[in-house]
Amino acid sequence: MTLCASRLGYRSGSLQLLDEVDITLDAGRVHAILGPNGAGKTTLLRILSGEMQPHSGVVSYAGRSLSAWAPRELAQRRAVLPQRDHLTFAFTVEEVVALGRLPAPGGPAGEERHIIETVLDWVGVTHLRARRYPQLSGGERTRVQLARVLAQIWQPLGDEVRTLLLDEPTASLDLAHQHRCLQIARRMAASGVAVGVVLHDPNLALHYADHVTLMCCGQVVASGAPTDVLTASRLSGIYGVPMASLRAGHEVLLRVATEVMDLDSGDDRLPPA
Amino acid sequence: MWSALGLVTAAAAVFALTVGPLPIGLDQLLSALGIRSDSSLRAYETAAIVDLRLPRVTLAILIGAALGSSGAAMQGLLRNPLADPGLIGVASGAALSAAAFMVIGVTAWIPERLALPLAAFAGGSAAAWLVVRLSLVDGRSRVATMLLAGLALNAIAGAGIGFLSYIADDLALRSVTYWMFGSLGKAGWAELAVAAPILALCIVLLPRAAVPLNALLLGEAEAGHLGIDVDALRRRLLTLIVVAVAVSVALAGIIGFVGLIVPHLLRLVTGPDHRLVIPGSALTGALLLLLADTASRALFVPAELPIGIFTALIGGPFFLALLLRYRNAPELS
Repeated sequence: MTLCASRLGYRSGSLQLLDEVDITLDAGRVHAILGPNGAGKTTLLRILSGEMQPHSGVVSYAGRSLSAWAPRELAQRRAVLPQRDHLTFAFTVEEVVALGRLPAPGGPAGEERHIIETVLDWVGVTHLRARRYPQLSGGERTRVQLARVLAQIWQPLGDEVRTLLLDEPTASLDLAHQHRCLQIARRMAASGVAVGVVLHDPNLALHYADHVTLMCCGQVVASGAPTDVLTASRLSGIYGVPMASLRAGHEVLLRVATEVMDLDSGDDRLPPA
Repeated sequence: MWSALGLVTAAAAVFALTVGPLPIGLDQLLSALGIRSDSSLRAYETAAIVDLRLPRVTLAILIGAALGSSGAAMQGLLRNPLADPGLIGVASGAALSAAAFMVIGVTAWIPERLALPLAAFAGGSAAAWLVVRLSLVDGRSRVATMLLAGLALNAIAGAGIGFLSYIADDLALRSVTYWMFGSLGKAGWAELAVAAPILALCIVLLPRAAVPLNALLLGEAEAGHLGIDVDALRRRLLTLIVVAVAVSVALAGIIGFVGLIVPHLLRLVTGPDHRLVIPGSALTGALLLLLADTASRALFVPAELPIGIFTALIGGPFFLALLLRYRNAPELS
């Protein structure tokens, strides 16, 4: 019961973006949130991080209402990787990562250095450390931002659990770095961090998550163990594409059954040649 | 680097004190300032230094530093390297108010020497307050709305100034035009006694926001996640910037380009870290304005070129040269 939200509702104009959403992130576990575009995943993450206030429902962190936390206290325990980055000024990679240490109580310089070295190494950007951030590719930027949020909650503080919220961290990463990113999430969980991660690839969720919440149209469709939630028939219904499951060893893989997909409804709908 | 820059500024200040229609040597300067006792100095020479040049040099340093550091803070706050304090209407509001005062000639119960700066300060802060108020959405000010509201207000103020110039008699028109180009020659010790502590306070307080401003460059939400109260930071910085710029404009008229160019220059040298950019912009702004004022006094003795023309004349081409040279540098991308 690290980060716990119940009956969350959020409207934007006449649109109900979240409706009666319950979610709990537990210490030491990776909790994946999946769902089609516009399902409300990012809105949920923004409310969980305290960036936005829900119109109804409550969020509590470590037993205290989220709004009762002082911003800095919260920042020492909870880090958020946003979906998009807004940094256009020419900080070096190392400077960006060091910004993550801002809310930390501040230890000896050597220790701070060591933390930055370690997270640079974890996400594999040590060789980019002196490069200017705006010169990096999209995937490299995501990795640098990941290093920054890891640095932010690197050290446990008191007895409260730390939380890491990642909004589509794998979206711009290559295959190898998608897995590296989720392995990092697992390692953080292994050190007691509660991890919430928005993902699109059900196979990544099946492989790396302890718990999955599946959302659609602002509501929770299913929540539980990955293999129970992410079934071919349920995903077919939600995404509107035929899904099939494969068994590879003792692992389940999901794939879109493109051979029975029907997107082609007549030549007249093709763009002109 | 800072001490070198500080020394250069100090040397420039000493040099500036010796330049002017009345040639004064270093020896005489030291005597006039009471550092050396020398009775050969005439009273009017002492007066020229102590009552004319010293306040002017002090003003150049304070206003240069205030404009430089406000520009740096403004660019950080809006996360836009092209932002200028003028964008939120401070300068044009002050200009409109000052023009109205000069043209309509409100017979105030305070002497004109004080009333004009007060009118300019009031106009500048009111315009900025209005722009910030207009940009409030759900209690938060939005950057894009703020810039657009500033643009609209600048246009309205421009129209107002145009109309006032149209109805003004020749004398008033001349003072309006002259005021708009800025001059450091109008203020004496009396004005400085009021303005100097305010400017100094802004110059000291602005760098204190350097670390949260660095975080803000990541994005507003990201800064919030790092534990920074973004709304409070914005309120505090906008207040400091508006006060610093409005006081500067009130005393010296409109001096363009310093707030825009100086932080750029600094970023090319130091990178975007505000812990270096804000104090560096203060020092460089002071130096730049000091040199510009000295040159504007020395070039056409005994006349002087309005300093706003001078900063724009030097600043514009200099900025273009920078732009051409660093077109591909990440600092400007």
